Amino acid sequence: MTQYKKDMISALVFLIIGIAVLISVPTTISDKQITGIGPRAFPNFVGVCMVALSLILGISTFVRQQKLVRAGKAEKPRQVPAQKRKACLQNELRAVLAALICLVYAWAFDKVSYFVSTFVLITALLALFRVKKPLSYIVCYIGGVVIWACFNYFFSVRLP
Amino acid sequence: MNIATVLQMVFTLPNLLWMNIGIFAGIIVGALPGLTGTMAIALLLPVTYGLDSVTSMMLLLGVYCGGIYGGSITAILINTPGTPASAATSLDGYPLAQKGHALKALHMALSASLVGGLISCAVLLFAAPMIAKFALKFGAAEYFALALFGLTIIAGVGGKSQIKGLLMGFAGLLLSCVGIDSLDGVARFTFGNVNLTAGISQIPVLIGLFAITEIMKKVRDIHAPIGETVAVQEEKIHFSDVLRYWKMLLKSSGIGVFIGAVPGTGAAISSFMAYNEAKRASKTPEEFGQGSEDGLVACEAANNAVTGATLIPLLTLGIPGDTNTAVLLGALTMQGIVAGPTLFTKQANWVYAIMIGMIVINLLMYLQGRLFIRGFANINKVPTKVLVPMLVVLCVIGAYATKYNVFNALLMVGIGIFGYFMQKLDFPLTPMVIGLVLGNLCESNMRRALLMSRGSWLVFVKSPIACTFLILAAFMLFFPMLQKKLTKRRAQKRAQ
Repeated sequence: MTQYKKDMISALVFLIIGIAVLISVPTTISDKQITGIGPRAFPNFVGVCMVALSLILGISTFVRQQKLVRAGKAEKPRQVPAQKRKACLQNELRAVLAALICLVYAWAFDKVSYFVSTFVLITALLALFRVKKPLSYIVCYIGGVVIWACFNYFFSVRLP
Repeated sequence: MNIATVLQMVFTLPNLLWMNIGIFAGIIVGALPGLTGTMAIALLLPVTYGLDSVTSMMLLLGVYCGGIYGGSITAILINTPGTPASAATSLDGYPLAQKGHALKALHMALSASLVGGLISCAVLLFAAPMIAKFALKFGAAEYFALALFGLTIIAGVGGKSQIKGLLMGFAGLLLSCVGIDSLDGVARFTFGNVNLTAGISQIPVLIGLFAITEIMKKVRDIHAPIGETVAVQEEKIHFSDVLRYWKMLLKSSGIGVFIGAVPGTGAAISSFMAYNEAKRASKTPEEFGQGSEDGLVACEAANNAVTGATLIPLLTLGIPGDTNTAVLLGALTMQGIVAGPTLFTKQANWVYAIMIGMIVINLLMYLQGRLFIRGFANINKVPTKVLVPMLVVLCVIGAYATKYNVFNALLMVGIGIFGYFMQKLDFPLTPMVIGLVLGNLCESNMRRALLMSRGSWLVFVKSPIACTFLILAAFMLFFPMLQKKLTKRRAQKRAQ
């Protein structure tokens, strides 16, 4: 992705967040103003700053890009071979899948017991890493048990 | 005060034993993300029932100092700060470890922690009452100005794009707004979710932004040969190697002592301030964030310099400097010790025993650290494919353990996913942590100050301390931009 695209996406993301904040403040925060400056003031200030900064980022990026285009120095998207592009996309999907596995683990952590959810997590992650050695699985399972024992008996953190 | 009596009170076998137990427990707890020194101190409180007052304080102070240092171990080795105080350490500690200098990074962090700790102990010993008087002058306006000054650090750690750094800082400030407003009791951005009424904890955000993001990157880069580990270079580091940075150590320790002496601030703020100052004063600021030893030394000296300094308001005024000393105050009460101005007159020997005990604790912490450093560095030799599942388990437990709430674990993963994509768009993650840490301090004190001044903004200018911090904040914010313009002009002149 070119720097221009990254910066424009960044500006857009925070513009949306800033506008969302400014819209949600009057609807979600009660105006029960007991003190001088109410509870809406600071979130409004943050929302305004986000919108302002994202506009500055977007406009400055656009102006810089126009200057580069006129000078013939605009960054051209790199010609990436289809195979490499596919590999990059697979890598990104793998990272997102790992995050989703973590999310499911965090959710199931309390619903199912620590041991079952951790066993499934370790198996899923090692399978994602295409690990075939049984020893790696055993080491990780033992690690999970050791962690449970440390937290339960030494740190008095009761795990589900 | 009788020196012989004081030394006799400190140097007993039980004291030395409990100091070491406390330091070891503190290092382990500090290193584990999600567990804090405060938690460890609270857990060990019952152990102190059967101990005398000096011994119990030695144990708990050992945990305190060990906990602050322990956070740097995981910050350096796996980019997962064990405590918020070590978030700044990972900025340069982790890149240094990734270059194969894990041992060097750990040694430097340990040595800098020792120096910072000893300097704060010296200040505690010789200047405690004087500093306490200054700390008492801090009111709402001064706290707001200090927090604002702390927020301008975002400009320094914003990486290449200051605007992106500021945007992430504001994202952190937004997160700090979530929960019940402390002044008006109004729910903000809770969306009816009872888990958000108490606000967003720093620990899940810290673990999510640093650890989960890093885990996702490791999984993404798995096309590298499976089992690849970073070779740890065998380096012999001596304590004198860190003394090369004596100016940095003194300055950072000074910042740590100042911040620590002001109640309600904490080691996280001091380490970021020291880092920012080190970067500003450095001749090679572009090296910061890439494994700069200056940056690492500055953070660690500052965060451990807080340990002795937080005892100043605690012992002299009975006001805890941070959450750790708040629990220590409970321990003092249990032991029948009344902290405050009369402590220095009625129980002078006891007070000085504690102060000298702190010096011994810092020295023992250094010795323990040297003993275990190689063991810690070997974490880098563990294959990534085995390390990642263990890290995920530790992170989820860590987030869960903050409030025994699965919501925090889910929040942690969500923030981690957000952090991963923000990093892909070249957003720095550290400003978000700074915004979250300082947001509440900034907003609540601003509103409190305006309430007391009946809406007059002059309250921030009338106070010399607040005014000084506001000027420093403006300087920190605009100085990088001015510096860039000046450098450009000089380069243009030279070209002409």
